Amino acid sequence: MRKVLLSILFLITLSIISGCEKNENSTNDNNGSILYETGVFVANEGLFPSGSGSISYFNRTTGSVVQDIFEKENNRPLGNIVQSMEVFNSRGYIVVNNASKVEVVQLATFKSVGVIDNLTSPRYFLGINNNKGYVSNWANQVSVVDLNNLNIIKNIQTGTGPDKMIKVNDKVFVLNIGGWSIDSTITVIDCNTDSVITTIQVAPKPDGVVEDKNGWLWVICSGHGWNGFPAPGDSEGHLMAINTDDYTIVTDIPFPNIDKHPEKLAINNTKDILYYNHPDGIFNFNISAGSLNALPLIQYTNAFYNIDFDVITGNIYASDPINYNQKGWIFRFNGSTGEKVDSFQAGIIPGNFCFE
Amino acid sequence: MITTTAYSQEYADTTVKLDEVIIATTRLKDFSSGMKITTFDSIIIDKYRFSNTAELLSLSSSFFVKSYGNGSLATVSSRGTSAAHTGIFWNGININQPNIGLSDLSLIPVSLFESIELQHGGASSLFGSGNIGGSIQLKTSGMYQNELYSSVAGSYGSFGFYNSQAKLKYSSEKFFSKTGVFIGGADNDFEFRNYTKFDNPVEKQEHSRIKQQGFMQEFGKKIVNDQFINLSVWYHDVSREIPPYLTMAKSEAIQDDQSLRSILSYAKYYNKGSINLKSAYLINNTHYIDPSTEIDSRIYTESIITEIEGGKYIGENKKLQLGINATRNIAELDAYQEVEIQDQLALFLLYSHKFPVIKWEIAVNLRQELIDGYNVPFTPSFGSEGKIWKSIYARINISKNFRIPTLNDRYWIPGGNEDLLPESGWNEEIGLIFKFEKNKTFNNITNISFYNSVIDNWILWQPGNGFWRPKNIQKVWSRGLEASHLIKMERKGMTLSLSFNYAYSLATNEKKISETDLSYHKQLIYIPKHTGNIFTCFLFLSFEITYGHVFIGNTYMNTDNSKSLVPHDLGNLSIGKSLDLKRISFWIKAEVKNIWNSDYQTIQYMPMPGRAYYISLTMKLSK
Repeated sequence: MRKVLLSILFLITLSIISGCEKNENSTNDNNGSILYETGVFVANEGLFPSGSGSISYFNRTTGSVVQDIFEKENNRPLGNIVQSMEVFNSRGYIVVNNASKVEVVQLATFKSVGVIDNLTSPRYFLGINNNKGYVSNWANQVSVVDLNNLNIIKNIQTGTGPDKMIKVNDKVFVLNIGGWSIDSTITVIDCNTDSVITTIQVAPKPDGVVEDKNGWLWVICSGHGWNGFPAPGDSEGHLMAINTDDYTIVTDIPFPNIDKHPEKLAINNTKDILYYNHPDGIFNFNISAGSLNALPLIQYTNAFYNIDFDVITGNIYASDPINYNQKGWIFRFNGSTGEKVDSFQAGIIPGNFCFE
Repeated sequence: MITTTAYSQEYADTTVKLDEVIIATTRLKDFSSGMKITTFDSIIIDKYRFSNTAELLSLSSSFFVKSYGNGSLATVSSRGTSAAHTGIFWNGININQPNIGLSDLSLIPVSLFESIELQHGGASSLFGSGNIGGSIQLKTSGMYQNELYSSVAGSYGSFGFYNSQAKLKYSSEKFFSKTGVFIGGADNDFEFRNYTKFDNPVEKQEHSRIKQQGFMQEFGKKIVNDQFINLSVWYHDVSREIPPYLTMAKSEAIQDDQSLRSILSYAKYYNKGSINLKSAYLINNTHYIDPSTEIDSRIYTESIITEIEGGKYIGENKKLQLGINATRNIAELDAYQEVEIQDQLALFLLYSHKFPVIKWEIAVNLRQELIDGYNVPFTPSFGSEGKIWKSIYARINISKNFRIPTLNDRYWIPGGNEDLLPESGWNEEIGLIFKFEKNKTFNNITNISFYNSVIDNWILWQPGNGFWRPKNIQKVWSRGLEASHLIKMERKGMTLSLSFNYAYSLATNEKKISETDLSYHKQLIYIPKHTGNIFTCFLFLSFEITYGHVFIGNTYMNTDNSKSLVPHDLGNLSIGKSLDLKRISFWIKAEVKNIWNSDYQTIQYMPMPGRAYYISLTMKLSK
């Protein structure tokens, strides 16, 4: 009988000891009150399909980073696959793709002010005017959202897998990246009437878009296929320039290797040099050049997950998710020389950047 | 072999009774000196008759089970290894699916088997590829005696749970037939608190329904007095809705699995030896549909296994066994370019030697596998066990173990890598056993093991360049301690049994992927360092009260150990009463699971049910 009691006591003691083991949470590098107004926001996707994504906040002046700012300020996780964040009229719009919602926060405090629901695999947010914004959904539609009450006014049917969007005057150009299949088009929407004007044919998987100093739209198309894993039906990437008035393709430069696909597109502060991500590294491209550069501007041991350009510092930001299940790293490079500036830690699978 | 049996009638080493023949491998009985083996016999199986093996292992063993919920996918992890490092065998035939190298424990109902044995630690020398953390040996058998037995059982419970089973056994001195059928399911619409939403609302779990049914049929025939033929067929069919994680909007995914497993065997016993022939045909068919991501995927695998073994006693104390195993695995998946076929051949030589004077024994096992496309290492093992002094026994085991990549690792498009090497490593362990028995009214066994193993070329799927691919990228150092304690006391017609398990598992990554890799020296994910359980059973008059409690410590979810699932514990209580008449007996049981209403998760963001109630009735007839 005594032995029975001893056994039970042993198990209870063990429970207490193990329960006391420290729970390591994500670190907070900052003390005191924080205003999240000026800085760099990194959207960390989180582990698919179960984990929660997060937002990391990087202060350019002090160089400090705060992790999980949404959970910190609102006491709940964001949800699965935090795809992107946009700032519009002092509010942050955080698109949580696999939770089919957009969390809306007041930018300065990062406190939640509402949620946009009833979306279908949302990817990006674009503010149109004080009263409305667009959200692209991979279920082939762009949702028009009333920014006052966060309700969906209307859904605009697009091509397959509408993804990144850009506004040029009164038009919104939506890249149809193909979702879970293939597409090669851009849907042009009149943002006064919220209706489709036309569809532009480009190359498969349009992944990034920027506007240059001449008012042309540059689009990078990844092409179809897996890097280093060629299969029949693959196509090469393309870098194209489009006239936004008559929608003609002004320039079309194909990529040389059919099993090395480019992706992402960023532009510098003078809007004349493009940057794109590629298995060989980060390349730059002068808009007046007729051909692609043979060598990358920046090379690294692992391929970067995402890149972007910060006009305030003139730096290229690039993310490295390591093994996709630990805190990733953000590297900063000089936009002209490609030299490494510094690096800071972010969350799990750091993806899109938002510069304020 | 020194086994620790949870509720066996006797603790002494059992010898083979000639009227009960288990046409299963005798390897584990005769050549496992130095290995730690836990046995669940028919008595404990009866207590878990409405459960699957996931529940049995979680509540009564040191094997850790990672489960997605009641009846959802559940996989085993032994001694800090992954689900693909534990082989699952039915009567000596490996039933792990060749495309993924593992089995879903929630699809293995406990009631179909006569006994379940857990073999802890590496055993590639006995069973081949994939047995690095351990193996689970499911056994069915028949008796050659005049008997007619039938039973019907049913259980109903919370969240729409139902399970009905029927068994029929007919046997004579030369023949037996065993039939078992079952049908079950659950709605799993339990309530939980959603802490990922503002205001932590109480919600109901959706899209989590399960339906399953199946049967097992066995025939045995004794030819003359020393030859036996046995045919066993096991069919299982399940349809499951896959529930959403709390961080997702919803889930529309559904998975259907069907499996058909059959074994035909023949054994002949000589004066000083035996020959065993086994042939098995296993089919698995899976259909997975997820409208939200436009996935409609089919998986079809077949395994054809033939094994011939011959054993011979040399003198009284020595046994030599020689065997050959030929296996063909075929897999047809949408994700493969074409139907893939893989052939394997294994040759093994086993030797055991007993030293009765000093009460020690040793076993030396040698096995070499020849597998299409791989340089498979030679996997020997050496084990020894025996009495040190009075009631103290010791054991030691050293083995080399390996695992070949799965068919998915090789052929999945995109990413499949035909240049992958097998994982391999050495395992060393020592154990001490304290056995105390006082005239069958008091039994006390304490079993402590220390183990250490380093597994190199561990395969991990790594993302990069837009898709994932497997690489021999990790080196895992797994070491730890397992302690178990069994007590059984009988006094004045009352019986009290108590079993206690504790495991301390340290499994760390010892290879950096890149310079900035923070997973170096860190604990692997979903391997809790501390796990324990306690199970107690009190019998008096015709009543039985049982209480089981499980404790799972901190579990990391990220490879840099930055976030973890908090420790949790669960308790289950049951009260039952039996009524025994001359030829018919009844058993009624009421059970409360998660009696303390623990709010816990074993997978991050996957809610689990709170307190649940069950009632069951079993009726047995025998002649």
